[in-house]
Amino acid sequence: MSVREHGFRTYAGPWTRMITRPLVITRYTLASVFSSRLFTIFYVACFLPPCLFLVTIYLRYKVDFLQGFLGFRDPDALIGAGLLDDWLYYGIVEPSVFVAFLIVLVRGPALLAPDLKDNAMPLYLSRPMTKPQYLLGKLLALLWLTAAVTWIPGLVLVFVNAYYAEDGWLLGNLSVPLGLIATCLVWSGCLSIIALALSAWVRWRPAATLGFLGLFVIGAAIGNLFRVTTGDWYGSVIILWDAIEVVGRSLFGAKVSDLMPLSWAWGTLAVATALAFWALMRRIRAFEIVR
Amino acid sequence: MTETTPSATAQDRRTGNSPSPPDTREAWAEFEGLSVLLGGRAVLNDLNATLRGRCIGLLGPNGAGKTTLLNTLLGFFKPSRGRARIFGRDVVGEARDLRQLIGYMPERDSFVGGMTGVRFVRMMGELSGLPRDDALDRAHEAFFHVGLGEARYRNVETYSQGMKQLAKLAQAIAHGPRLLFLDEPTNGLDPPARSRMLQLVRGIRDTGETRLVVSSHLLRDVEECCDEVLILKDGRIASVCDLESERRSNRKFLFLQVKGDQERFVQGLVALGCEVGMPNRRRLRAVLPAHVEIADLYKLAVELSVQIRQLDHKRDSLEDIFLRAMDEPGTPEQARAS
Repeated sequence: MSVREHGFRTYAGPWTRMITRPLVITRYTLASVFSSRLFTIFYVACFLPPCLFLVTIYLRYKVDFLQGFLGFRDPDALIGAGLLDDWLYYGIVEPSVFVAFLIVLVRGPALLAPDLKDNAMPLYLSRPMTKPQYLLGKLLALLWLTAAVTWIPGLVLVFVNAYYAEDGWLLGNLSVPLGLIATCLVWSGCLSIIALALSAWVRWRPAATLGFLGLFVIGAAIGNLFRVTTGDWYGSVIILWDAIEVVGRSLFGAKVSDLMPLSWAWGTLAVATALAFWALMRRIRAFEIVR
Repeated sequence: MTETTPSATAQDRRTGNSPSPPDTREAWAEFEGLSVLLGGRAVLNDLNATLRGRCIGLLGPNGAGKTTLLNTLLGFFKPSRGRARIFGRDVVGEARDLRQLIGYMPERDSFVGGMTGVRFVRMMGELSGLPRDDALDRAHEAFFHVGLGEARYRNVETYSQGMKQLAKLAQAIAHGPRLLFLDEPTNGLDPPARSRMLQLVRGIRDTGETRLVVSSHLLRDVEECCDEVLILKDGRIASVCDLESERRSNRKFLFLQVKGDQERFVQGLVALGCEVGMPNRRRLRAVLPAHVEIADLYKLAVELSVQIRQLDHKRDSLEDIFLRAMDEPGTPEQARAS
C-alpha cells in the first residue's frame, strides 16, 4: 500500500468499543493458529466424525437398507444388542468430547507461552485492556475452534435426525440439542482453562503439551487403579473423562452413568477449572517480578 | 462499533477534531504522597511533584524506582498511599480510560511473535481502540516514521536489537497517544541508532501534541531531548528540575577572556547592568541581566576596540544536577525545595 504520512500525529478518529477488544485477540489468535497448514489439515479431519454420523443417521432411518447391510432382520435386535441404545449420545457427544480434547491438546498449550516468552504482556496490558479480557480473548479462540467441530455440526446432526424422525421428536427431546451445547461448552471451557494455565506455567510447548496429556492419561490411570483396587467409585473424582461423561449424560438426557454421583462429577470439573484459573491468574501479569 | 475518545470534549466530538494541544506549561501530571510497597518494601516513597514539561526525563540509579513509577502510572501497581493524576484523571480509578491516551515502550524486548512487524503494530493499534482500517494505515505510517518502512513485512523475531527498539516505538505511537512512556529507549543501540532514536523522540516532543516521559540512566540521552527532569533516589524524589530554565539561566552566565583594555570593558559591562567578577587576571565572569544579549557584548567590544578571545556559557550540566541530587540526603522536603 502507499503510505502518504510518515510523521507522527495524534489520532482524532473514532475508537472501537471496549467490549470488542478481547475479540481482537481472538481474531489474531485464530489467524495465527490457522497459519499452520498441518493444523488446518488436522482441523478439517475433525469434521470426519460428524460426517460419518450423518451417514449413520441416514442409514438409521433407512432401516431396510441397514438391516440388509448388517445382516439383521429385526431392528429390535439392534437395540437389544446395544447398538442403538443412546445412539445419539454415542454418535454426537462422545466424539465431540474427544475431538475437543484433541484440538485443545494440539493448540491450547501453545497459546500463552509465546506471549510470555516474548514479554508481550506489558504491551497488551498497557492498553485499555484488563487481564481477564486478555484471557477471555484467548479462551474465546479455543472455544470457537472447538465449537466449530463439536456442537455446531452436532446441532446440524440433531436437526437432520429430527427431520427423519417422527413429528414432534425435537420438541419432545429438547434436552438433546441443549445438552449437547451445554456439555461441549462445559468440557471445552474446562479443557481450555487447564491448557491455558499449563501454557502460562510451562513455556516450552512440547513440555506443556505432554503435561496436558499426562494430566488426563496419568489421572485416568491412577483413578482407574484406585477404582479397581477399592471397588469403589472414588477414583473417578480425578478422572475428568468420567466427570464429563456423567455430566454430559445428565444434560443430554441419556442413560445415567454409574461412574460417580452427578454432584461429584460437577464438583470435579468445577474444582479442576477453578484451580487452573487460579494458577492462570497468578501467572499473567504485566511485569516480571525480579527477586 | 465505535465510540469517541474519552479525552475529547463535546466540541471535539461534534467536529471530529482532536483535542486542542494543551498549554505547554500546563501541569499534566501530579503526584500527591505517592507511595508503592512491593513485597513489603517501599519502592516509591511519598512522591510529591507536578510535571509540566513536554518531555520529562526520569533519572536515577538502578533500583531507584523509575520503572516502578512508570508501572504505577500505567496502573500495573496500586499505590499503597497517596495518589497520582495524569491529565486530571486518577491513575487507579480511571486507568482504562487513561491507557487509551498512553503509549508505552517497555525496557525489555517485547513483541508478539509469529507475525510481521506491521501486523504486530496493527494489532496493538486495534487493541488500543483503533478501527481495523485505521490501525492498518497507522501501522504503516508508524513503521515509515521510525525508519523501518522497508522491513515492515519481516517477522518481528528476525529484527536486530535496534530494529526491535524501533518496532517497540512504532507500536507505542501507532494510536497517536497524548502521553508516551519510553523506558530506556536507547538500550542496546549503537551510536547511529541511538542518535536516530533521540531524533525521533525530539520530533514527537516538538509536535507539542504529546507529552513524553523518558526513563533512562543515560544522562546524555535525557539532556538531549528532555526539558524537565525528575531524579529519583531510593524511591524518593531527589530533585525536580526544569532543564529549560536551567539552560536559559546558564546562557546568561558567561566566562570571558578579552584582549585589550580589560578595565574599560568591565566598566562597559557594568554600565550595561551586568554583574562582573574577576576570578583571575585573564578571565572575567559576567552575569547578564534579562535585557542584555550576548550580541550587546560584541557591540561593546567593537566600540572599545577590545577583542573577545573566548566566551563560554556556564556549563552546569545535567550531570552536575544529577550528582548534586545524589549527594543530597533524600528527604521529600529537600527534594521539594530543590
